[in-house]
Amino acid sequence: MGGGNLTIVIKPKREFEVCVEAEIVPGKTDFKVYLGKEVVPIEELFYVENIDDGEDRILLQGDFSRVKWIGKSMKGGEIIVEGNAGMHLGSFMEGGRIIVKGNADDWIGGMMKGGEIIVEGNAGNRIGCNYWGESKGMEGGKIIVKGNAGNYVGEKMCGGEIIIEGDAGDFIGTEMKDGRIVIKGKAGYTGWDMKGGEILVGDCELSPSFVKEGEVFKGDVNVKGNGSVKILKIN
Amino acid sequence: MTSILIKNGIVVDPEQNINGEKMDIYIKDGKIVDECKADKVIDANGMTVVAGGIDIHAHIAGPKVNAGRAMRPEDMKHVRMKSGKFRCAMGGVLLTCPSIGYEYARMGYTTAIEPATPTLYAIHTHEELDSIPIIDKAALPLFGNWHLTFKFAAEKDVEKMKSFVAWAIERAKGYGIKVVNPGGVEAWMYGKNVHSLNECIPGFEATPAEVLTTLMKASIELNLPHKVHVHCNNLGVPGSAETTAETIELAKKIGEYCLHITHIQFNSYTGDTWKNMGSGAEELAKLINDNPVTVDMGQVIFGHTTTMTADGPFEFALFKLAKSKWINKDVEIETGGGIVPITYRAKSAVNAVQWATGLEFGLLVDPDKIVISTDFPNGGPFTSYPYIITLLMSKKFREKEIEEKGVNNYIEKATSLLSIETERTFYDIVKMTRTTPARILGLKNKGNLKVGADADVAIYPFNCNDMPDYERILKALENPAYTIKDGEIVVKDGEIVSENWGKTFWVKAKEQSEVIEEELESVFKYYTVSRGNYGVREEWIRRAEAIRV
Repeated sequence: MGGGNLTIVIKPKREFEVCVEAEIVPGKTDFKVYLGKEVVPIEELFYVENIDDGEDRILLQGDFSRVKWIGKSMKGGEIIVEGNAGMHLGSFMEGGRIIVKGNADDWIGGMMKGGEIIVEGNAGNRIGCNYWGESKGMEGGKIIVKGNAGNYVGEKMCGGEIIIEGDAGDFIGTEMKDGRIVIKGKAGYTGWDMKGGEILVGDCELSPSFVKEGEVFKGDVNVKGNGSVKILKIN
Repeated sequence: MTSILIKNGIVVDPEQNINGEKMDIYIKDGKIVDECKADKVIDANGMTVVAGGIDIHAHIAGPKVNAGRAMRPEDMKHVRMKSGKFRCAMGGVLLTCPSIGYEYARMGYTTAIEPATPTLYAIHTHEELDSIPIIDKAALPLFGNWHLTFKFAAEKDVEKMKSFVAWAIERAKGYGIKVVNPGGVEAWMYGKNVHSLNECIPGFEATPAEVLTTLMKASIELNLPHKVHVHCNNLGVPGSAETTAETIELAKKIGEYCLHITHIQFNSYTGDTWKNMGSGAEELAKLINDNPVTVDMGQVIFGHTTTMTADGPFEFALFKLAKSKWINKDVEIETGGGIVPITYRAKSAVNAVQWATGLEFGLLVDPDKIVISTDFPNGGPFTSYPYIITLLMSKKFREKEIEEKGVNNYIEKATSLLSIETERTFYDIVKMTRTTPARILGLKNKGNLKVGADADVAIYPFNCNDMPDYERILKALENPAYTIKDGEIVVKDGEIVSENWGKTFWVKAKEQSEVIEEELESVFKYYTVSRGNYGVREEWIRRAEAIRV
């Protein structure tokens, strides 16, 4: 199936009571949409309109807060979510860009390897984290959240960058190995079992197992880590 | 129940010395019969008909398998089959219970033995075995680290050991005696291990050699269908080949068949560090061929897997090497256990030697004495048996795999694999997957197509008298035309078409528990677990079949 040089506009036909799993990815038109365990044609749940304007783009209009897996494993192109987005946005993503004008739910950019996710509102928990049991979280790319974020940012992160312009919850950079997390506001518990990488945070509750070296804290010494945390202390 | 005629198939059954003869096979009421009126006829023209495969050693049920699943959610998320007519089957290397039954049937296997269950947790093992569809199964309770085993071994009291084994097997509804690192797991409770067969077990007067000898004698006197199934001391370390050779010597002294050494590959390394480790398979293969012992391969498959064994100290050593997740379990006075996920890499010199060592055994040991296994999931998934069989059958395929996977060329120095020209015939393979395991397990109605045997049959879409190239062999073994279990067609063209429930075999040995009544009383007087906690009732098991000896 083709796709590629189209702008695809997708709108939900109704308000979803139960979450729908729709792997909406640019460059395709045969999206995999699950209603429960059944795969259904996307037209059953959404209005789809193709505009042949030479752009590789998907516009999601309306409320997508109960639509999961938008942009799963996407490799290029652009998705613009004009409202809110559901869980697992841009997980396993390798390239391209996702812009969410509203809020995003949990698990954005899970295990992503490249590309960019921009959330203009708030985001949920587990940003750029690993899926359960996996040894690597986000490996590359960039996530920007203009509002606040929930708990667990960049668990087991191995590369790339996460920028939170507001506040974040607890467990920032847990078991982080590489990459960079910037939180401009306040955060809770930070740096536990951190092995490498860099965290810049407005204020946080740093793990006591960090050693001050100049302006930064190095650790986590419990796991012989060499991560660095810089606390900016902005009031 | 329908009756089936398998018409014009090319039959291979080493038990009856049939090698590629065109024959008709009749099935009625779940058994193979002489002749009958058939409701259904399968045209097996140009196809090979063999008995259902038997896996003698696969960790398919029990608390540690379940703990492994909980520990590897990243492995369990792989969906093999969605629910519909059958249950949902999940798992990458580790599998859910339905998945295990379906995957065995899908490669023509119909029986599997869970080889390590703590007597205390036997109830869990049976609950899980009962959830595995299609295949017949049995569980082996662990004896190698019970305090009472040490006591009777130190006293060299075979009478009491017999009684104790009979008691525990009856309580666990088990099938035989499993021994894991005798004494080592007990020593691990103090952070130690035992390193030789003649070292005293901490806190006891007994040595691992005495434990093994007493248990072997007890297994003979009890006339158990399956004798002692041992995971040797010093497993998985350079120099382990020596310990294995000593263990074979112990069996030789007894003079009759009483020892099955399991996953021999993991126990056959020479050298004294990981830097100079090599394969001891050549010497050990000679010893095995000359002595009354049997083995299974424990072949390693490149890729990730989850190791799980009752050998707690070994798993700790592995955790230190692999630096991954680790579960440790102490089953009080009985045994222990550990789980560590690892990845076998073709580029790694050590893993390459392990891979080559397993194949050396498969090629050098008499097919009447060796069974194909991966020690699922320790060496890899059992779903790669067709791959292992193809490696054993084709030198060209071995060379291609070494080339394509980039197997570390250290195997040239450390193993004899590259110089082995042997290519197993399909007759040998049927022995190694059907006849030999059935004999070792003492299952007379399995692994053969005699009149009266269980109607567990696999039909592969190739002609064994005119062997195709390795690619087609592999494809045929992975997609049997039919798998028949208990006279019912369960697989057609590699897909599950119906599901039934297999039997759980257990051994009812003559119990003489009054001989050890005093010892049992004294144990349970001070133990944290009461005697009532031991025991699985026969009626709790879906299809229990007692074998009386």
